[in-house]
Amino acid sequence: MRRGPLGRILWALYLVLVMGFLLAPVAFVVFYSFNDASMFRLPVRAYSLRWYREFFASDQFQPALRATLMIAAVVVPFTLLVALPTAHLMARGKGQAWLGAALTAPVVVPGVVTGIAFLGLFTMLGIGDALTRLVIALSIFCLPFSLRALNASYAGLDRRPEEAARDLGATPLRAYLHVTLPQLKAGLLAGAIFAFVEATDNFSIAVFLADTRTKTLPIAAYEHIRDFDDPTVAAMATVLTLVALVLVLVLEKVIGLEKLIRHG
Amino acid sequence: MKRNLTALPAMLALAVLAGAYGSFFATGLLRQVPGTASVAGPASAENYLKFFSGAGQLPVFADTFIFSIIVTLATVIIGYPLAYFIARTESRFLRVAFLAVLVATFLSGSVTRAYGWMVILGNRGLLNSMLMNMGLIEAPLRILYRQLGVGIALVHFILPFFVLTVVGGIRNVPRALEEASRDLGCGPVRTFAKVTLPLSLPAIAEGMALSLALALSAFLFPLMLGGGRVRLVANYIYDQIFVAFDIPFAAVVSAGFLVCSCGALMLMMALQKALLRRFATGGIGA
Repeated sequence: MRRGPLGRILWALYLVLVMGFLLAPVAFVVFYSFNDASMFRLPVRAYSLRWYREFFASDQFQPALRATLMIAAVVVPFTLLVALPTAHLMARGKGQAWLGAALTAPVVVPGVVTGIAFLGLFTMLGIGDALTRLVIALSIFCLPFSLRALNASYAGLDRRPEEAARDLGATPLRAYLHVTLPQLKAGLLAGAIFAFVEATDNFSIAVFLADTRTKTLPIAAYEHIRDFDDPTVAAMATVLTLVALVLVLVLEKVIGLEKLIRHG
Repeated sequence: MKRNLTALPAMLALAVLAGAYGSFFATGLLRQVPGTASVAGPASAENYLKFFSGAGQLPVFADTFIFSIIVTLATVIIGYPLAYFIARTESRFLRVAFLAVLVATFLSGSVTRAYGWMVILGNRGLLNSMLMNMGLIEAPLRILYRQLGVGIALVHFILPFFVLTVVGGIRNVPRALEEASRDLGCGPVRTFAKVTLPLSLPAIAEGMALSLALALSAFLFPLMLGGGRVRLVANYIYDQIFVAFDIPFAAVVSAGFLVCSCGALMLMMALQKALLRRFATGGIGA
């Protein structure tokens, strides 16, 4: 890009502003979480880890943290187990593409609608346990996200090694497990990360399925913000942001961020 | 046989999903048992009639669509130059840095971001405190608990989705076409306006469809940053469940909302197809 001096200044100004806009909420939440006072005042008087202690000791956030991790621990492997054969089918079979397309519905349909749909289904089936409800609904909601990552991985797959293994006498399953699956490692990892993020961050579906005893972190955070005005949620958000940063680094190391912007 | 087995997990997942979406059209025909969480028959079209005759939800629907369109347009205006920069910059460092910020924003969670904007935009928040300390304003600017505050947070939420979608489209515009345009005497601005922009229009339309879908389904942001004063369809539905305790009517409003938003998305997709046909790059290095 060749530009004149004015163009350069305008571009730099725009980029700084956009970068500031993108980083502002997260950066400020991290800063705010170390603020000792419970109200925000400038200048900040003292810094402390008070709100982190509050977060990890809270009888609201503790169970929510445990429930969220438990849900993610079921949802992520389940999602991958469904996504893997489906991606396989979509890459090889021609008639099955509609399956993947139909499963993407929850991405486009407003979360509130999907949440109520699941609430209606569970009410009719008489499934009242919040944890069961959340695990089933979030597994299906997360599916398209990991499916997308796996589809991209399948698109770049070299099929010749698998054919060679078959020619050398390996059974289809063996050839798949030993030759094809290892090539999909990056896609599986990205799929797991997306499923994890969507499962732990979802609010609009989960809020309809949780109850007073079993709720996820976003719901606990929302209820805390509604009732209190202190930085406990900032401490929680900082912990989650740290997790997100680690995930970004993993994505960059294993797949490369530039690969994520494949078109279509 | 083997193929059927491979399709089984997806079929099961789809069956649950279809059951969910199907059951909720049916739920709308039932009636809430007062004071309980259960619904009961006999089936009637009562809720649907209430929905079509009720004047209460029409302004909420209209507001939601207008608000979502404004948010989408703001996202395009703010996001397109960034997508262009990421696609065309020669500095790998800057490209990866911006991508990392976008992906990190995308992964950092909606509660984190909604909360961040709450403390920044509030009456005693960062922005107002700073402006008042500098003596630029006397009274705090009212941004939070209005559409403006919800809109700011929503644009921030949607921006990564839009930019990451459009970057791919701009990258697909062959550089040879841009170079040819310059060699033939067009300046950078004209080359952009006559070559790059039209050829990336289909990607912009795709990004806009995605943005519109996200804006329409926004729920947490109006809930947290609207403070009950920004009325959008998603919150209206939420109120039917948690304030009016009427699951069947909530299901009917959801069905109506689903039909409307699918219609809007189909329009966007038709637009995208029309643009693709008009500006197809015709295989030159594409």
